[in-house]
Amino acid sequence: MSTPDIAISQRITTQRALRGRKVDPANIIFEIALILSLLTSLGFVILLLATVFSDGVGVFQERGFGFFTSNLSRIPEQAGIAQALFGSAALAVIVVLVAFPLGITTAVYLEEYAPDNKFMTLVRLNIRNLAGVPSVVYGLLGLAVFVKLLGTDMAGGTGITGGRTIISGGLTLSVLVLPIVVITSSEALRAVPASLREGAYGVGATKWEVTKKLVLPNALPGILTGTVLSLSRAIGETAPLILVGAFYGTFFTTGDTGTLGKFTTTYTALPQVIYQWATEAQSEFNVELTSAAICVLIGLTFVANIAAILLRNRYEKRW
Amino acid sequence: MGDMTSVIDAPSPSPLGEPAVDLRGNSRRRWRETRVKVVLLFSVGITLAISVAIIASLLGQSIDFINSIPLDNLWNFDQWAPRIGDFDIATLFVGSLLVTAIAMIIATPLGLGAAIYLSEYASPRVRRIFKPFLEVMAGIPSIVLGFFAIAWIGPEIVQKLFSDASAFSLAAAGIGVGLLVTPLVASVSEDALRAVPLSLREASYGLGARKLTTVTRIIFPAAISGVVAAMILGISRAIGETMIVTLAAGAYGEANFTTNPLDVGMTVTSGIATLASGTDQVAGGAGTAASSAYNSLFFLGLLLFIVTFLLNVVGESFVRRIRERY
Amino acid sequence: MLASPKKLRRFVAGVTIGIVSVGALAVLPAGAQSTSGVNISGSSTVEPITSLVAEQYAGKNPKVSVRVDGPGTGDGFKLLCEDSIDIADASREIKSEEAAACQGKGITYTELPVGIDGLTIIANKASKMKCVDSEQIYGLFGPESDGTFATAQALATELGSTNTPLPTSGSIKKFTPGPESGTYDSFIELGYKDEIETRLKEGKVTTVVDEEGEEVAKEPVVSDGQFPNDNDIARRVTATKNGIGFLGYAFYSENKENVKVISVLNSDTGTCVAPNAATIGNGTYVLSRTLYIYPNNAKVAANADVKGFLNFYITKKSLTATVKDAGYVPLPAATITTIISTWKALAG
Repeated sequence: MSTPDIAISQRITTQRALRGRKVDPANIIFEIALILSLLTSLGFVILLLATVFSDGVGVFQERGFGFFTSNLSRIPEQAGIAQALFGSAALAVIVVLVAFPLGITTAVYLEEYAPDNKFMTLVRLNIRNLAGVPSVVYGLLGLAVFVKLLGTDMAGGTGITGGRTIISGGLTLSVLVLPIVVITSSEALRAVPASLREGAYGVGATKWEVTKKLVLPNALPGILTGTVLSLSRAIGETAPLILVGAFYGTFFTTGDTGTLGKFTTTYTALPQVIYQWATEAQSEFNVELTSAAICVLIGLTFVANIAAILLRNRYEKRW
Repeated sequence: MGDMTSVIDAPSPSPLGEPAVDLRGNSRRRWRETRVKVVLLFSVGITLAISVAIIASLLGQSIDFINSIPLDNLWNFDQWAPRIGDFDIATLFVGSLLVTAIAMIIATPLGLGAAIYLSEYASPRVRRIFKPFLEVMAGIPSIVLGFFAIAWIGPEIVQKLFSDASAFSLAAAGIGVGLLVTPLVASVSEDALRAVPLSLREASYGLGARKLTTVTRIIFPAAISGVVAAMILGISRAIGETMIVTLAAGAYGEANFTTNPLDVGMTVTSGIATLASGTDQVAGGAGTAASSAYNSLFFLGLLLFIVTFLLNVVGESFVRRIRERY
Repeated sequence: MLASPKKLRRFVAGVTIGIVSVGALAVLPAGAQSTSGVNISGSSTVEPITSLVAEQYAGKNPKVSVRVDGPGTGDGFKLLCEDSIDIADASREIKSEEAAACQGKGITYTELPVGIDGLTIIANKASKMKCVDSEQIYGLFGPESDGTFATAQALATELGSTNTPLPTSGSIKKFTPGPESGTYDSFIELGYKDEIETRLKEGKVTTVVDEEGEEVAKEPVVSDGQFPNDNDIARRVTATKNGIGFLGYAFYSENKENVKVISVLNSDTGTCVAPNAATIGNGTYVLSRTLYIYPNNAKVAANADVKGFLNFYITKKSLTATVKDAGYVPLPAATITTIISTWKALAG
């Protein structure tokens, strides 16, 4: 026996009247729209990951470790990312050695030492704006300063950076992430409560003693998070490397130049190899190998990002 | 409480344990202070030097560039073909404009929607899951999104919607850039929404407003300067994005003037990257045509620097406004 | 969860020491002085041959560093004459102004042919185009194909084309190499040299004065995108309805399934000829051309690596099997013998 339609509609009306304003259809539609917008982004990211993984996994299955230990090659079955991994690692080492100390010490000065004057406001503003400069502009800076100016000596010979080398590339990436390191470190230092410093000054510690023994240790998790994130930014950058002359071609070897020699000769890096392969003709290159290399790059940046997030959550403090 | 003790325990006790009389008198300690200060100031100096270096390197070669070409060549809606001396920057400006507009059409609803949901609707648990997701999304390298744009967005979205379009187009690049900018828009606007004090919400509910009204009429207007900031910073990021456009927008080395987003095209950034990759432009040619092409890299860089700088300054001022208000 | 700064500090110290020691390890084995190595640049068309040879050579000589890239023939000659590279790949002969630049720097070189290529005109799969004559090629790609004429066929007809008219379609998108490329120059030379000269004389073409003071077409090839990498051309033609382009035969072979090849009218025989190994080899395909390498003579004498590399390159095996593997057509056996003896004389 089916209930007459009229009875159902009456029941619904009654229910609505009883519930009052609890159910607000407009609000529900709005909330659904919001959830949809979040899920759309999520969907795109999952689609992206699924695409590169399904296209790239074959390379790992067939080649296994060989993909990581082979050099560039015109023959897809032999092409690998060994040179790219070395290049990215070397670039990362330079960033760690150059950008991190400079960035953290700058932040320490700005937060702990700097007098409160117009000049320092300008310095802070300048750093914030540097963080927003497009990466390709840093590439131009690297080209003009590290490749050209420092890459040639007075006589027209090779200068201290050696021109289009890992050193030039690493310095360019260091300059690129420096403002980010300064900003994140500053935020971490600012989060250390003033009461802690005042307590130490009260018993006679000098500024450096307070900074070194109280402020820095307590700000360290935040600083570390920021530096890890900026490192992951650095290893994912492509545009600056194009401009400072990372290798763009299908084949090179460095022979027996030794590890130091590799710092001053032809080099490439993971994102640059992805760029190169993505523009090759055969689908072995522009789909499979590109996807496999992207899996590695995403793997590296995700590990760094997740490590940073975990680190922050683990040591996050509420003062 | 536990926190405090561990913090006080940690540093070595020497300065804290010394008698008060000694405190400022030790010249060795004061000397050390000076040394530290010098080292720190050196670092600050480097960050300033970088700005100077950027401006100096861009400006010098841009001036060379301007002097080396007839000026009516810069704005004639013809084409950008630096190798043969055609330097119509309108071609690249319109390209950048189209890509940025498409990117913001994608990123604004997605980013803003996610931000409102996370700050106003999501339970703390849902928030804890989705917030890191947005952060991870922000960490995807742009070259990866560029590959996604040619492998999927071009053929599966653009060509499905417009069968005449090329898989390589300004539209495909724009959608890719939109995905790149979404997490930035989301996180800046979410910060702004969360900065709106609880008291405003409570007052609204107290007056009997429903949730939808509270969110759209009270909270959103209150956070509007932060949302504007998110948009401006998003636009600045979209204008500066290079690799997605280089891979997906289609034109390379030279581009014809177009206002059609379904066309192949070029932006200011991809103009720089494509001229620099795979040619000896980076090495700097000797001939006149080649060297003005080389210098044009810096001219484009200068334009890019100025535009993004202005946008960032305006964007930051909006961010500060919301910080100061609450 | 309380932050234990001590533990954390130890952790950070560990990480820092780790990173620094990796860095140090990377820097310490400074040992070997960098050998001179072999540095090759130039034509992206020749790059597939040279990089295959280089890979085989490097496999046998792991101590030698070899670098091959392909920005374009013009860029390669520029680098050769700036003494920046050891060997230039070229898909055309050196131009007189380029030769003058080399002479100015006191650089001598030897021209060694390595294979034959057929410039291939490709179109999107959907295209109805089948065969073109030189007037139609001029109509499609030449300096006046920038929209001055309603269709490419209208322009070709004005020039006196008698071939089957081109099918009408929407606005054509053209993807080509750039002026730094030898393919670009060869295409003009082989495709529509007479047409462009006639039109120049008639004053129909926008001109500029080149470095030698001659009036030349400002934009001899009109394009919607110029690519140093021929693969980019094929991919865009594949992806674009009404897309056409031209590229080296090897790059067409790699993209065979994705694009349509257009035959070219041989005006001597009056037949339409499609490019393949036979027609390119015997020259009935009119857009055939020789590919070269240009070693710097001084580098051959001074740098044992360069000499060793060329000893490996200029052999029967490389010039036939490897050239074929790269997708090109080997030179006739007699020519190869001559080239080998030219090289032997140079190498001493």
